[in-house]
Amino acid sequence: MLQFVIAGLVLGGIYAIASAGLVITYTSSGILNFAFGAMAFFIARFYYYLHTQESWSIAAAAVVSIVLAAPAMGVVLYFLLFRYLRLSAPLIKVVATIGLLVAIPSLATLAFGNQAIQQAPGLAPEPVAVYQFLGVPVTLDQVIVYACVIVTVVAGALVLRYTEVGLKVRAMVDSPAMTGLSGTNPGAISVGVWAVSTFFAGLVGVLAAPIIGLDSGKFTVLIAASLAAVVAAKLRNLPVAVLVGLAMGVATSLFQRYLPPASQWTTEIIDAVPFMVIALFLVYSLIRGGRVGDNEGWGGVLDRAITPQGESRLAGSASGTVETASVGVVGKYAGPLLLMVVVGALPMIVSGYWVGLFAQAFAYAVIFLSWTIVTGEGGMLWLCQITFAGVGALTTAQLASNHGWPVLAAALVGGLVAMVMGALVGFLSIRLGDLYVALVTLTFGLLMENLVFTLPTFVNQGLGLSVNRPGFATTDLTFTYLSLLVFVVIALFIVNFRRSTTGLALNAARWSEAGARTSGISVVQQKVIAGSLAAFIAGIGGALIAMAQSPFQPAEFATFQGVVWLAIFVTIGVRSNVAALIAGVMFVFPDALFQYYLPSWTTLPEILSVLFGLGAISAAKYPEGALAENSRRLRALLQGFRPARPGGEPPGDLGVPVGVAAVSPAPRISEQVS
Amino acid sequence: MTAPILDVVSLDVRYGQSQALFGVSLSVAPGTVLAVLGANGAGKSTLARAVSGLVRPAAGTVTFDGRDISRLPAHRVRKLGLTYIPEGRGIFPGLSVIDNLRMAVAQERRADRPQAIDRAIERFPVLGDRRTQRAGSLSGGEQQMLALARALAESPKLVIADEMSLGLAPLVTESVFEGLEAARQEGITIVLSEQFVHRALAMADHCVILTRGQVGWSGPAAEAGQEVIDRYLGEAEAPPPTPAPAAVTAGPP
Repeated sequence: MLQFVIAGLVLGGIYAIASAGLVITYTSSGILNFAFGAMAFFIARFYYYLHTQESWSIAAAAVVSIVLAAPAMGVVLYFLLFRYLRLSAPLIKVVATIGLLVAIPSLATLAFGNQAIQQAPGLAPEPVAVYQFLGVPVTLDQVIVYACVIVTVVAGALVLRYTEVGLKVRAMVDSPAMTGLSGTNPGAISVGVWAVSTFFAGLVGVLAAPIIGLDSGKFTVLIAASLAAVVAAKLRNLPVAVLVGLAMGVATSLFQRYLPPASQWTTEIIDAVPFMVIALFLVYSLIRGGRVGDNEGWGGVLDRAITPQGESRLAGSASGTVETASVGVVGKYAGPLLLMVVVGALPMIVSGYWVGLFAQAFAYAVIFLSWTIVTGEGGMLWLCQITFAGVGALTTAQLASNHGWPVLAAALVGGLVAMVMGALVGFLSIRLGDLYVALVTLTFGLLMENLVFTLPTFVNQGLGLSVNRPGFATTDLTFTYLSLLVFVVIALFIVNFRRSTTGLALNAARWSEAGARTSGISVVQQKVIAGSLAAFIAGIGGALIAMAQSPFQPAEFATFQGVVWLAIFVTIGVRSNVAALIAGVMFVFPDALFQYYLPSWTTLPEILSVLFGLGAISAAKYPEGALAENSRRLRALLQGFRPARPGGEPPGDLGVPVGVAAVSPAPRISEQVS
Repeated sequence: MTAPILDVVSLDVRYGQSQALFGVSLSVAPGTVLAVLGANGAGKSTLARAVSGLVRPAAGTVTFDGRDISRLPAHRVRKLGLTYIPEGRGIFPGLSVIDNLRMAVAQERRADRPQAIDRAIERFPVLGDRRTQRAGSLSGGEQQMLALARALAESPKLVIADEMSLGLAPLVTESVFEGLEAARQEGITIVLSEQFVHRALAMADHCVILTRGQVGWSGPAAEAGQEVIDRYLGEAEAPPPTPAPAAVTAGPP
């Protein structure tokens, strides 16, 4: 058993360092860095490049990659991105770091080449020395991991507790504004913290590479696992994060020891250890009652007072009512209608291959609509819509192909199954703060992906599943219009949903949950309704995708792929139906166009994902999305030609003078594209 | 008259789309006490935040000790000798009392810091008994003592004290005012924003009354009596254009 504990401490140590890095940036800047794994991968790849490809010595390669390049990456990203994110809404913070998650591995491929790497050396010289410790063989690589864990924990604790720098970091965790008022530059502390955090990322990367291999996907999964420790630490408690990280590693190792090795369930249970930690936390917090928040955990009263509140949230707009007066009904609906007509006409004009792509684009657009409800209207940051889509697709395939159901009825049931799951997820996560909701839904997605989507009946020996299209829409063109019809029906439903009691209640709850509650709105009920509707829509979208690109693999509904979808959608505008349509087209076509016309350009997919990533990062600047931003500019331009209103505006009308910004009126979000 | 130590000219401040201050001008002579009065939401805290560099003004200038500080961030302003005790409690609630004081003197030369901390504790002996306690767990009065101790530890030239008596018992309020009075005796200029109007006026040399983000009245504190009732108390209950008589009878709730 000791042998397994010692082995488990290696993985646990890597979890521990990663969760420490995640916790320190969260507590000091309010940003949970989803790109931590991507950063770790980049530095690990850089180390491999220096040490193996360029034959540098271990010491030189380690110093340049971990000690110099990793912190430098943190500093650069701080100045380019993170410092602007400090006061952003949780959604924007998540999406911007997801943008990095998408872009960084592709940058690594562009910089270091795309050769497949089977075996990556660690920090120990090859061949790796093996020692005996209490009768257990221990490799030098493992010893190095233990040493790194001990050094980082001890040094970190000493620095934080006893040094002036540590005092300033703790002060900034308490309140950046008060730190500034005490004469310490909070920006300088932030840079330092980011540098330390990316140093940890680099260390994790180089330590983990020999164990998990140099694969950016595996790094992302590794960090998703570390997030469990971060959640257990309630995002803030460094010692708890480190301990839970270590414990997860040991638990994984013990499961390997005591579960029957031949069973397929063993690997799945082992993969699911981090998610069990999150599930335990969730159950515990549900039993204990009360709200597990994250927003109130960051900064002090003064920090919130000097932040214009409405701008710092994914705040609601007044759902189109604000600017309608000046734009008029025609102006409000002309743009979306025109776009629908143009997009709707395109499948008639193009031919063959391209028509089928439109069918896919519209199916994706349907899935994106589910975010319009759950995130755009409900203000809930759900990262598992792709899982609901997968559930819809798999259910449809099972019922239609194996049980002979009519495919549309099967799709409807697929949507309903997803809806039940959505209601469950909504109910379980109802008392959690925005960021916890994101993490829990991400976990749910990963669990489904690992435990359910991999079942033999779905994988079908690698052949995937096929779904026949309905009899009246077997050609690409008819099926494309069927998809478009589904999109339009759901979009119209959403337009009405916004005006419904539930829609208004959600809008109210998005601005102020306490305020909504005191107005007699059952926030729980409304959010569960929104979540299940969204899951239903995603399920239907998944069924459409299954029909559009049959046969399909369950693995196509990988959770992180869905997170990339969300990043694309938010870039264009999460509150808009039209944006969903554009996002669907954007997701399918650039890749297809380049593959068709420039098939020899092999680095293209990498460049595209860098561009997608950068797009998501731009959400930091335009939280309402590119569509809203551009149509605002267009309107401003058009209004520039109108005569100015006479008389100017007296101070008392322009803005209510406020002493406390916390009560400042919400900014007017001028765009609501229906 | 000597040159003002703090000179604010035509200051505009916005939070997002809403404007909180409209062309506010005032000046403070060295060693004097200025009382800034006004109803809730009149812009007192915003004025203090803009002067101390927490919020960047949209227009106008702030000159402190002969230097334009309108665009300086808060930590630079503090280093020049202007200290702001924000509304609520100007402390780090998660840090211990001694760590709070260490943060306050972090700008001093390393060798001078222990004496600066000792002086602060001498001034407010109750803090000495609570060195290792979390500041957030102190009583309201003790927290304000700590805030004041922090502000005075580094011998500032000017202290802005924002609603320091908020939520304190009268006796405790009195000792906070004593602390401010002692600071004034040492020649520190004080800008005071206060809910206890008469207590503030008794201490102040000059007075500025803000109404809805603008300077409604300014002048010597001794002359502020009737104006205060008309503008400050009247505003709280009945905004213009309600005639004054109704406002006189209506006090703050």
